[in-house]
Amino acid sequence: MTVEGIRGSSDRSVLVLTSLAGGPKHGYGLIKDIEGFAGVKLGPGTLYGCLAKLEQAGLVEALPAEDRRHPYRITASGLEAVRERLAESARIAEIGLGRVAGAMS
Amino acid sequence: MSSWLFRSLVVLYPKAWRERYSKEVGDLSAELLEAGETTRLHLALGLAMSALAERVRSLHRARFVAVLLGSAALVVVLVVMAVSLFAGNGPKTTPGFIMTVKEETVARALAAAADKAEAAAMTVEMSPARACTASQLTVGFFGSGVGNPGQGITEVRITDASTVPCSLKGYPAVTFLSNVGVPMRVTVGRLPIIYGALATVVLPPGKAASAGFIVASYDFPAEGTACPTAASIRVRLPDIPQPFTVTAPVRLCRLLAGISPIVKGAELAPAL
Repeated sequence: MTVEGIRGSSDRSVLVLTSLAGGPKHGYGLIKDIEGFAGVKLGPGTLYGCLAKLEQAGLVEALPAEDRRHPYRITASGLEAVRERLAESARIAEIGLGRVAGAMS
Repeated sequence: MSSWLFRSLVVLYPKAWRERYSKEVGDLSAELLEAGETTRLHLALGLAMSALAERVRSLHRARFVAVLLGSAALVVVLVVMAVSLFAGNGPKTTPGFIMTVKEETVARALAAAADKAEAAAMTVEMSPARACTASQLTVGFFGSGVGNPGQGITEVRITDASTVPCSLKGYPAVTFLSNVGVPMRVTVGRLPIIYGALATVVLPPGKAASAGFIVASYDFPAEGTACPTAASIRVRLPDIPQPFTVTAPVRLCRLLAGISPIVKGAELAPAL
């Protein structure tokens, strides 16, 4: 997965990486955490679609299963990727909000 | 979710994905159902659609047979789901249980055929392909969009128009041309390879553009500077001496541009 791939197709992947940046989580924990901070409820198929792509890209890694729960954690590459993506979003938000404010004044 | 339905849905996923993640998805689905976080219908539809998405993702090249077989399996399972879920009965109490078993068998057979077709396509894809030649390729403007703030992105796609696959690896060299075809004095750098090593990209034969690269440039002028626009790009692909000329308007504020390596088309910005 390239940066362009992340930029274009995976807002959900950014949500997953953001959640894992707060510490390792299993599937159920990820769904509840993302629902809490983003208001988006991912289904198991969607969540594992993201996790599969992120794991393949080396941005997350699986930890040993705990009973029937399967936790994941973010890697150093994942932290850097989500930092870049969130910084970029913040820059766009700053410019966009400035322009909106200018247009409304 | 009843195990028969989950098994029917799981067979729709690509084999490699299924082997790696099906247990985890099953455990999570069971946990969500037990917690009352979702319904069987919602869960089943979500898994079915995700399965199709994974099939398409794994088959982003021209593997139409496998896509069709996977889609056929999806249709069978959706029919089974509709009959059993909307009737409000599980298969054990439905008079059509024997048919359900048959349909599950058909779905499994179709999914297995899709796996075989996918494996065959992967084999073709993994076999060594000769380096592309100029006569095999068409190179064209695909679209433009916004990159980082203040930057524009232009996407150039490469198509193997011949009947045999070929490969490309590395960065293209580009020259920006004015509207009268004169080379512009633009400083061109290489964009970094973010993930992994520089890879050989195999282009399958056909009309679909399956590889490409991006040109990043400033589209906002710096204070007190002009912002010229190129009318076209002269592209030299790695190890191919003959250049291609791509008609593409590129704003070149600050007369700076960056070029990505050639990557698979599916890895380029899909929003463009």
